[in-house]
Amino acid sequence: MATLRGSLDSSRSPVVTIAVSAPSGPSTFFDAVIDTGFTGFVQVPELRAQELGLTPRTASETQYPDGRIDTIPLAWARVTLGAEVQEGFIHIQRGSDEAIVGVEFLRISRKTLVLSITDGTVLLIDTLADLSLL
Amino acid sequence: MGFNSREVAKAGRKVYERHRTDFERRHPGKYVLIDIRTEKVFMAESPEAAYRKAAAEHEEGPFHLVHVGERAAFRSRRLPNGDATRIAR
Repeated sequence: MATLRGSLDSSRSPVVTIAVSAPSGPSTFFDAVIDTGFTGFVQVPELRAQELGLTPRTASETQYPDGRIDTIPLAWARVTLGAEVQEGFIHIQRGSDEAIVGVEFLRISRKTLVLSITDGTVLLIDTLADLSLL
Repeated sequence: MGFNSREVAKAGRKVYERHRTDFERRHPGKYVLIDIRTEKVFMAESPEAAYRKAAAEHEEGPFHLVHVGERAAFRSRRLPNGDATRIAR
């Protein structure tokens, strides 16, 4: 598959555009921060999840850097990156306005993240050999 | 949303406690999805794989997801209210 390009946001965090939908619903695009400190699949704000009709049927816990553990509802959903579609657990996050892509998404989609803050380069590639094609 | 995640997690933990010693000795690092209605347990290498096992048996949940041997199934290095509280290391 083609290399996917992302960008840096105003805080120089890597961002990539994904589309999220319920398994049989319409999709919405998100500019999602690629956060390698998040071990989950994808997180979306609660309000946006409600608009998408994502139905939470699973509860789980997330531990934050201050040691706090919060119970988070999860919904099974479809996430599109470029031409590839993956399914997984969407974390429905209260009190957040961010969409986040975590390491589980990178694992499932078998993507390698290439990041240069200096050059403003954000790439999601299939293998490091793809870099020689750029 | 009509889904009380804290109540679901509480019920799931009760089921998990019955298996904890065995799971943590024999399956550390695996993910366990518990249907709190039927109390069936589905174990796999990832949350998504555990869900697919449950879906294959037409289990509908509600479910509680546990990472065996961990305090929480997931970790996040940012607090839930976004950029203003992001933790840097």
